[in-house]
Order: sequence, then C-alpha cells, then structure tokens
Amino acid sequence: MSDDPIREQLSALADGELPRAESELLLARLARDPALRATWARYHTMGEALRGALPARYPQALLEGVRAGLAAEPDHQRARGWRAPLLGAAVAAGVAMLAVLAMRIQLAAPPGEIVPTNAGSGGSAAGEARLVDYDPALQARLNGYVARHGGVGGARLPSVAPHVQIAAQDPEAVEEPRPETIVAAPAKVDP
Amino acid sequence: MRTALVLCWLLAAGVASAAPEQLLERMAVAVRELDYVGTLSYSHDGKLETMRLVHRGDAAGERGRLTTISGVRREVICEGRDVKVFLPDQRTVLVERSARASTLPKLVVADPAQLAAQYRLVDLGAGREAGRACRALGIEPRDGLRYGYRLCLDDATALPLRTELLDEGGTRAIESVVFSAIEFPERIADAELAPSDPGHGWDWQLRESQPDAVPTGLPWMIAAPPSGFALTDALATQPDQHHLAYSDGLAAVSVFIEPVAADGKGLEGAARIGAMHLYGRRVGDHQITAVGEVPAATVRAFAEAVAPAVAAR
Repeated sequence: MSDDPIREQLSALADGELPRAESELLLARLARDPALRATWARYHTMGEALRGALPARYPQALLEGVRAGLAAEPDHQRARGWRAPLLGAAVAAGVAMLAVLAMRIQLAAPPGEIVPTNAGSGGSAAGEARLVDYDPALQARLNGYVARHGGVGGARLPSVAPHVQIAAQDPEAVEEPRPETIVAAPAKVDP
Repeated sequence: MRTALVLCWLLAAGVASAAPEQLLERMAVAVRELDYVGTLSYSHDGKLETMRLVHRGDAAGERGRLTTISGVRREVICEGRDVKVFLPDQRTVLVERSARASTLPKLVVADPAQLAAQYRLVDLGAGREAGRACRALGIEPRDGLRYGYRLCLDDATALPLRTELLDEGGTRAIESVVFSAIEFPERIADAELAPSDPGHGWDWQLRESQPDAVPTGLPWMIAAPPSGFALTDALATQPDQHHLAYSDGLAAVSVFIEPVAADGKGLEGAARIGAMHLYGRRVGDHQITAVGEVPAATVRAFAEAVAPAVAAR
C-alpha cells in the first residue's frame, strides 16, 4: 500500500469527503482488494477512535461487500485499531492517554455469555475469546470506548510508561495481503 | 532541583527497609516527579516492543516522551492536558485533551486501608533490573474481581523497573514493562521532550471531553458496583452520552451509556483486547458498555448493574 493517490482517496472516504461516484468505485475496489481493505479498516478505526461512531453514509451493499471480505479473513490481525492503555500493571496510569494498540478487540460469543476459561498463549486470564463476528463499525465504536477509558481520572497504578501500548501498535502488519481472501469478496459490487 | 529533593526524601526513607504500602506511595510520587531517561521493553500477547522513555517532573507539570526504537515509527508526547500520538507513517497526530487541568492520574493508594481491603501487599525480597538493585513487591487481589501485579522498585528511587500484570492464577504475566537501562540526569532539556517531527502539515485530530453532572442529575446509576469499586469520575462527550469511571485504588473500569447507535450496532456480550475486557448489553434504547483491565466477570457485573436512576431511587 504505497499508493498515495489511493491513500488519499481512502482518507477522503473515511472522512466522508469523497464524491459519491468515486466512493462507490473505491468501495468496489475495496471489496476485492484485501490489502486495500486492511488499509481502509485502519483508517476508520484510527479516526473513529477519536471521533466516535462510523457514519453509515455509504450504500449498505458496498459496505457489506467490504465487511464480508473482512469477515472472511481468517486472520483478523489486520483489523487493528486504537485502544486505551491498560493500566494495569504495566501500563496504567493515567493520563489522558488514549490508547492505541496493535490488537483487535475480540468479540466473544454468543451474546450474553462469558467465554469459558481456556488458557491459551497470549490470552487473558479469562481465556481465549471466541471470535464470532467482525464488524468494522462495531470495532471502531469499541475502540473508541477503549480509548476514552484510557483518558479517565481515578486512582490507578502509576506507571513509568502509561503509553506503551499506543507506541506498540504495528499498523504495517495489517497490510499483508492474503490472496485467499480475494475470492471471498463478492463480485457483485464491481462497477 | 525537584528531582534532587525527591531523591533525598526517597533515600532518607530507605526503599529496602520500607513497608510495601509505603513503597507504593513512594513509587507513585517517584513516577511523576523524577526526571529519568530509559530504554524499556513492553511485552504483551507474545510480542516484545522496545521503546525509549524521557520523563520530566516539572513543577509546572509532568512531561513525557515515549518513542519506539524498533519496528514502526510512533511517538507519544504528554504535556499539560494533552496526550499527542504522532504517527509519522500516516502523517497523523491524534490529540486527546483531558477535561481536567492535568493529565496526571490521581495518586494511587490514596487510602492504604481501602486498598488493603482489596489487595494483599507482599514483600518478595531483593531483585535486580537494568543493573540496579530493586525491591520486588507483589500486589495480590483478595478476590477474583481484579488482577494482581508484581513490581520491582528501584532501591534508590522507588521507580518501578519491572511491572507485570498477572493473570487470575497470579503467576503468569499478561503484560509487562521492564527497563533494560535507566538514567537520572541532572536536567532534561526541552528539546529532549519535543517530538521527532513536529508534524507540520499533518492531519491533527482532536478529541476533548467535559466533566459530566456528577454525582446528581445523572439519568443512570450503578447502585451497587462490584465490591471495592467506587465512582471516581463522570464525563460526557454529548449531552446523552455518559461515561462513568470507577476504581478500586489500582484497577479502573469505565461504563459507557449511550443511545443505541443509528446503525443499531453495539456490543452484546463479552469481548477483550489483551488483558482488557469489555461487556455490553442493551437497556431499553440505550447501549451499556463496560471496559476495564479487570477479569471478564467484573466488567460484566458492571454492565449488569447499570439502571436508570429513577428506577434505582
């Protein structure tokens, strides 16, 4: 994704400033280009973390095409967003840290159920959450919550480096193309 | 000067011989008020990131700069009410402006007795990190509603040279921050706290929040938060969007209460990122989402405890 005009278009799309005709073309391209899709996902999770919800101003069919592609990707690592620092140990502390981390929020399901404990590598103590849904709009909203959580006051364990998670984000990793996901993108949205 | 005073006080008090409660209080002061420059590693989910940290505890306010020194370029600058995240590859700067005059967190362990009700503090003996002697300290939760910690506090300054967030078993670190090198310079110049690139012409995005009408007047409340947690803050970004912040003295939980979004989407059930858990549910036409660095059951208990204030009165 070193293609600057495309990046600018994506940025405009994320900001709602891209003309409708161009938006639809770009969305169609997003639906079939996993690398571009990853970049797009990053754009709006970044922006939305600070601005709030993802506006649903684009044709649903096009958005669904993009989402279907994202959902079909076995490795959801590409869907990264902002997140607040954990205070917790390492991080804690304070400040109006918005947070941004190189991790996605895993949705555990089914709704209303806590995922059973199953200590896996890298998992939290509550066990590995089972990923049943991936929705960029919801993801962006949750990232926003996490960012805002990082900004609140209140007693926390102080840390020398409350922002390590922000700095630890690795956005490039979201851009690795995964050829197998191309076939997952619906062709019907092509112009 | 300030550093020297704090150092003298810390040295006089003697980290090695102090009780764990006193050590924590000293750590809280040291982290904020000392001047230090160090290299640290942050590990989480099987990954390891290396960063450089510059911190100055000005009388006028705390300032900090955290820069990645491997992998993707990224930098966080803290100054006054602002936390700025510089993303050179995206030519973007994200600015989070606190509602409060300072971005400093309230001091931890304000009430050792209250903390002691939730956590057991344990002296784990002498340790060594970054070539310095340190005192290992365990903070063990008394119930399953919160995580434990393991720290190693510098003998000379009480600064945490190693900090680990532990899983529910109390042995495995979910996340850790460890210094590999640290110095306490006489003076830290402004230039050392400035961003590597000032970000001229980049996309600057600002988010600002305001204090909410707390504690009265809120249309929502949590009559009985999980044991040991108390309301510490309430914020609003929109008139009908509430953010309640709770803390038990070490761990924080945020509860967001907002009208269900236009697209109808909201978290229903559990989610997590690293050690942070989320739990969402709907109450009427409102979406409740609880977020915190606590076990999954705790955020769920928060989300389920939210009720309209009228009904709860």
